[in-house]
Amino acid sequence: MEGLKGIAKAQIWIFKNHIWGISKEPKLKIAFISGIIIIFWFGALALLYKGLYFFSKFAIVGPALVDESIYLFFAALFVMLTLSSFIICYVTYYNSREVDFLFSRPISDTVIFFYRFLQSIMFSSWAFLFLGVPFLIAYALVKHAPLWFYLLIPLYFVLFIILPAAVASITVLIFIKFIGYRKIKNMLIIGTGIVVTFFYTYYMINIRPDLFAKSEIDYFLNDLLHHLSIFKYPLFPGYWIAKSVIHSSMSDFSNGFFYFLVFALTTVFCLQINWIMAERTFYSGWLSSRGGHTRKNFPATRGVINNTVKYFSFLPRLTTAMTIKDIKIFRRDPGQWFQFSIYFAILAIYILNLRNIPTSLNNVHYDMYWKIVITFLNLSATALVLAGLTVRFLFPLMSLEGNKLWILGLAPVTFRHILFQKFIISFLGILFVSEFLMISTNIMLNTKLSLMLISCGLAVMISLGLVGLSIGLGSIYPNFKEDNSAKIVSGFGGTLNFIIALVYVIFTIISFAVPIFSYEVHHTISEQTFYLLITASGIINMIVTVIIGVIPMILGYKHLENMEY
Amino acid sequence: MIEIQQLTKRFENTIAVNKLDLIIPKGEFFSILGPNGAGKTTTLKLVAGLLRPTEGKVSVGGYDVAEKTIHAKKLISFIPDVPFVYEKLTGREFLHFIGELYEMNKSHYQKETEQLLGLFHMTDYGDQLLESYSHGMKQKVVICSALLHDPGVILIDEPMVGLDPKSIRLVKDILRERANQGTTIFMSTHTLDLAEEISDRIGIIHNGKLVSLGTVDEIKRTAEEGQKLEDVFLKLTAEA
Repeated sequence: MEGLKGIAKAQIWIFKNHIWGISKEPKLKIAFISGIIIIFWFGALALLYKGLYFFSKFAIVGPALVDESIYLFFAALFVMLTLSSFIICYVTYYNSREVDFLFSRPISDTVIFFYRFLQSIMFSSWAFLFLGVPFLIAYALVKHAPLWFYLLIPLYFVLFIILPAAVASITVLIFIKFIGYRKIKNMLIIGTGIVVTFFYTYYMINIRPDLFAKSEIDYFLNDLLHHLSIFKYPLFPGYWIAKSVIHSSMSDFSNGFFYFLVFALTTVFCLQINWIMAERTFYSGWLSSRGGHTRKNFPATRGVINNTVKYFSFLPRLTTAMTIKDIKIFRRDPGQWFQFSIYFAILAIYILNLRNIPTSLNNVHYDMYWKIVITFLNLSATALVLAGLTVRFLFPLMSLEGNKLWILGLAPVTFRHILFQKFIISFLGILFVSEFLMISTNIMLNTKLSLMLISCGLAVMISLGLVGLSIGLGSIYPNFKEDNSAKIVSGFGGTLNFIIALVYVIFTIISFAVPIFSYEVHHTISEQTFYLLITASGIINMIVTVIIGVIPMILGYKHLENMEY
Repeated sequence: MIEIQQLTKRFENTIAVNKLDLIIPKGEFFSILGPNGAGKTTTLKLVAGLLRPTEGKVSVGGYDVAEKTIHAKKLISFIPDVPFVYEKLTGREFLHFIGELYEMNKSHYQKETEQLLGLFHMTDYGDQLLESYSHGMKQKVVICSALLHDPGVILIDEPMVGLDPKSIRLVKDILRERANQGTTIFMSTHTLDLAEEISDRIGIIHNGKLVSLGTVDEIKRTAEEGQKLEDVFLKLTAEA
């Protein structure tokens, strides 16, 4: 285990220096960030508790519904953690200059592997910390679990973040060993295509819209539970931990401990396999990745992008040059567009599911209520997706210029021009996505024209605000040391971006939903008051959008202009 | 062409450049020498506009770099010691991008790109991604990008790092020829022989201050009989 002590010491020093660096930050900033994190965590706990409590109050099926949610939750989280760990392990093992440095030192391969594997776990663990732990606590509160259940939560946390990482790590090692570094991206695309096709086919065959025509309880007992049984496959790790949690919450210690042990021993087993595989394949896999840079030719006169440039000659040259550069770099980075495509896969699933939602009810009074609820839920879902997209892909735009920023800093161009170019291109892209979503989803929901126009208009405004906010904040809080956009977003600026985006979206939705509900459903305001409130909401939201979208851009531009390289 | 007046740059408690006065006329090849941390790169970056002076002023071609930034930048090219480039662009695409940034005529920068790539024997690699280039190849591409728009001033920080002997000779010849044609060259280097060979004048900087300035012969005359430039340099930069 040569080198383990040295690496461990270095990590301790790095951590201490990191804490020292944070302590040098303004106290107000530290307090603000800590406050946000705490509020977010407790907010998630409160929301999850409310949701589970709501489920538990359903007649007859309530308790079963709560337990089904645990199966579903751990199944989904396990799959998500495994998939994200796959990408994290791939990048951490084979796309890191630190590994190059470590391999040039007298450190054993397995120590390097073990260190990087631990890093992968740390990086993917935050998802469980912010979602899994609040969910477990909420579940325990709803089920009135015994006190010792709460003491088990840290153990569940530790186990649940290790096993997906171990599974993903084994998969990555196998892929690199038997398929090869260069072919892995093609395999990822093919593999994703197969998985998506399987689940889509299963969905189309087994979960049909006419099932919803039956009564709620009838449907639930005969159909939904049956379809959810896929998540209760006895050999699926998510099932074991769900069973352990359910039994433990009912003070059934022996069964709870049994399933806990099954999960724990499987984790240990996977760790052992991981270790053995690493001993045999990690170094050779890393060597094969060093020759992984493509020597393929990209002629400057060929290709779709190069041939379509001439049709945009009416645009300023800098705009065209920067846009083409950004498009080419994005297209040639599979890590980026793979994550981009995950967003669109989720959107596709959402749109496909819309036709299962009943668009009208027999009761006329509730029919209008239902239509408006659906319209605003749809708008909220779209707006939240846009918020996620802008934070994840637009916030890191300036940071990704990284150590190449000197090229732009030296060129006879202003950062105002550069920022404006990024804003326009991003806004057009986001606008296309948002309007496509709004129009297609409103058509599928059979929404009346006036509501569709309001939601399309709101989508334009929200797109404007979110794009300006993300690009602006990304310029105020750039991180030029990172080339991984996921890590760039996870800093202070990215978190602030996410929170402001969330608050802005919620404010916009509520400011229009309240007058519409009051007039159309509850009839508590007159037509005159309704139009007045809608106009006021429109004006206030436009002002807020300008503030949210423009001020960060101005501050961002000033920050970049005053920056030193 | 380059005018530096009482230029000072402070980083927290460290004075990296201390009241520097220097004029480099048009067409002069000027080299700045100094030990590590003397302030050479800081001076270059201040002239390039990549750093802001704490005090003092820098003008390039009559334009104050801090005030008339865009005008000054149109005249300047900068070759850093570490060639950070867009790895997912090809060599040719990178040069075309630079041509667009400087608003060059398209056919002109395409022609210049091919000439420069040919000069550095990089034509066959021009359509490969920069991530597949070696350090030296990237450095060559950065040098090409600096020469592409025919700047009035070239600022260079250790230009020969990573280059093979043939390329070193080529770069020396190109820079010397450009200086003869009227381009002002301001180079920072540790290699005394290089500075001695191609520079018109040399400045030796130590702890942010210019401790010697003149032609090689003038500087050597300040030393004892028979001493080389290296001896003079070491004596001037010896710590107190």
